[in-house]
Amino acid sequence: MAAKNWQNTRFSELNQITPANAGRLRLAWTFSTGVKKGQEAAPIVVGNTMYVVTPYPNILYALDLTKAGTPGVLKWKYVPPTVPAAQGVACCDVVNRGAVYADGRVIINTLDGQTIAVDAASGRELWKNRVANIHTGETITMAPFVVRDKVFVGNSGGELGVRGWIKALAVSSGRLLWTAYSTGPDSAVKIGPRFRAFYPSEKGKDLGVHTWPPGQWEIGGGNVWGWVSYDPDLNLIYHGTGNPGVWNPDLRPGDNKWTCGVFARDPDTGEARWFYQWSPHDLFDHDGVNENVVVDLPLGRSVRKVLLSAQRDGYLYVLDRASGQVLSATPFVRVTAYKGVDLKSGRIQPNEAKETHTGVVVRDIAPASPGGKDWQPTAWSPRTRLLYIPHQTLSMDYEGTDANYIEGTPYVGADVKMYPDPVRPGDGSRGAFTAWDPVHAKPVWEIKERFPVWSGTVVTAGDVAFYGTMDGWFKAVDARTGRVLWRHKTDSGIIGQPVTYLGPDGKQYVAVLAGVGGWSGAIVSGPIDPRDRGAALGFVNAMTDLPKATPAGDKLYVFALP
Amino acid sequence: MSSHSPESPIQRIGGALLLLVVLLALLVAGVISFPREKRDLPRPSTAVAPQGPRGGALHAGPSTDSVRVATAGRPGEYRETAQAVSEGQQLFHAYNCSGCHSDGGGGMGAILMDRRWYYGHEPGQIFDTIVQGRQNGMPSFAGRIPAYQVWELVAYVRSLSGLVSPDAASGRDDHMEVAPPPNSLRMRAPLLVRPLPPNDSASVKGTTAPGGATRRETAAAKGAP
Repeated sequence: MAAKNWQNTRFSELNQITPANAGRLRLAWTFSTGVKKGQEAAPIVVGNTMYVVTPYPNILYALDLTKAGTPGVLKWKYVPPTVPAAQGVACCDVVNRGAVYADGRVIINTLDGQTIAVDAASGRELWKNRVANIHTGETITMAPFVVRDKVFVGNSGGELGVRGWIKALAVSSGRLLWTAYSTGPDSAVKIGPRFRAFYPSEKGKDLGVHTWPPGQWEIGGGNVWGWVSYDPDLNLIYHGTGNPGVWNPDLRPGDNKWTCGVFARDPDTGEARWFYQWSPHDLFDHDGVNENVVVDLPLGRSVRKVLLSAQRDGYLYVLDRASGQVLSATPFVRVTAYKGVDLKSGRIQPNEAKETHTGVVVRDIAPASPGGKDWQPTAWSPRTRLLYIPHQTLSMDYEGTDANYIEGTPYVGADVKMYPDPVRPGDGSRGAFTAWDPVHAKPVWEIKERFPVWSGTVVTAGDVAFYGTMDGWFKAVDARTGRVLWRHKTDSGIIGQPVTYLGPDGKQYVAVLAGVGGWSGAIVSGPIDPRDRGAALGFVNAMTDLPKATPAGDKLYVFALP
Repeated sequence: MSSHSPESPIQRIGGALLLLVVLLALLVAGVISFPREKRDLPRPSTAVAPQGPRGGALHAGPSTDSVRVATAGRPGEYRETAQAVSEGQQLFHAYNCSGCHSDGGGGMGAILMDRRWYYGHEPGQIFDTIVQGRQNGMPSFAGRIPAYQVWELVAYVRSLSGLVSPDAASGRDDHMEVAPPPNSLRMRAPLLVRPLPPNDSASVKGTTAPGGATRRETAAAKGAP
């Protein structure tokens, strides 16, 4: 799976590549996918086959690793039948975040709302289920996640007033087993007798209706477009929910449950067991969908079962994963938007001076809409006990505007201009790769980057971490010190998820897709004119120099020691 | 002396200067201001208020023929006047066009401030694009927007790439400035490019090649079929 394991640690036991020899890494082979859009997917390796799914039109390639680097590498190719109009309702480039393998099948989501299983050996289509409807603005970009016999899928569309959900389908047949919505009555959210929220503000009947203006929950967002993790001991899946429908907060007074939070659910029934809301009544498009990494951590005198989550709002949360209690919340970037998280009530404290309203331009809101960190997943090493965070350092100006809901069109109500954070770092850099110690709640080292670090990362038992930059450098760094051990310039900016695997020849390989795009790179991969600084929901203002730094790309790179 | 004025000329000038300074101070302090007159347009009947019931979904992509005839445009209604452009500008936000096309710079939707026109730059062609929708994601607004408002949108869309006289094009927007005002754009000849078939989706919406030119542009320039 894209996240490497149920815990979402993205830690690999492979240890052939070390700080001592990483400087000798060489390009082993490449493969061109033919789709020059944002490549956010993780290649996955099962046995001697690698599976790569492209951005829309979501072509799935099976590559024979015994023939890597030869013309015979392509084992098969599956092109799903899709509707091109899906591109017109995808908010932030036409990305796909990866496939999942289960029980002899490779399962992918398509931008136009289908979940499809193909036979891993032959590429033959086994089943498909259209779970989302593009005509209401729904798309799917997230990587499906499998626990035993179920595959979990969630929708995108938070910028189009789409009501969020997560669905469980049968791995064997694709049949829909349950659906849990992020807004609406308790029955639809699957909140029942087994639900135990830790904080009082999450307790009450039908909060998914009553914390909204009448009817607004129907178009209220809370999309499940990020990562799912799983703790087999507690038998709970964890998934975040996205921003509330319509960005402009004046149009939706209330806490807007159950958006911008994290659910713990029973994977078998979908029942919610607890919920914690990172940002009640979100003011800044600070979605809550970032990965929740399942880790056991020594805190005080005991070892706690926790979730580690570097969220959009700029805080690194340590949550008790059995109860949903916040154990600590520490800013990992400069934060002006909030004053802190009150550990007694669990509530984040917005900074009144930065509250967004209709017709008011508020300046220097940090972190900006994409947050301290967006979708790009972190990695946890049990050896160094550090969380590796690829992220951005952006601030923004924001003005709320009127918004009309028209189904299938954007529903935002905000004008945004982002820019490099003017104070920290304050040197024009827009991203960083940070190693974070969650026990002492502080960074251990940090590498600043010119552009947002929009790639994922992987860390290995050889104590090497890998990540890529939007100007096309793929880097190996010493996981303990942050020293850059090696770097390679690729054809295009990297926003994909690096992986490492053992090849058929017993050698450790490192693979990553290079192809800039996504929300941050839409100025290169999408139809965007940089004269309009508000394009791509205001991201363009921060990225006008990206087109000079990189063209679009479509290539898989694989590296190894000689 | 014969004439004895109560105020010398210097005193009079001094008084006028004082008045000017006071007025300027008031202006700076915001006591006197000259706000842009805001005229409320009739709310588009199709734009469902959040409190109201959900409207039917727009059809993403080109509409069917039966829907197409529902909104028939008459080119005689088209005006490239300052009023039409200005009202089109407000409608552009009210109907969420800006959500995809930003202030002309594109995003989810095509760029409107450059010279490339995949589906034609003539007013009637843009009218059809809005009403019928297009295959790569432009939804059909058939039956959603009164024809006269579609024509106003057409005028504003054309102004974004300098196809409307700067005398009529808008000089500013009602919100935080993010893009150059349309009346600052020089009038430039449109560049006609052919839309790709829907199945060639890998490169729709103008994938930029390293050289900066799109595949479609290159094909059009070469006169390829």
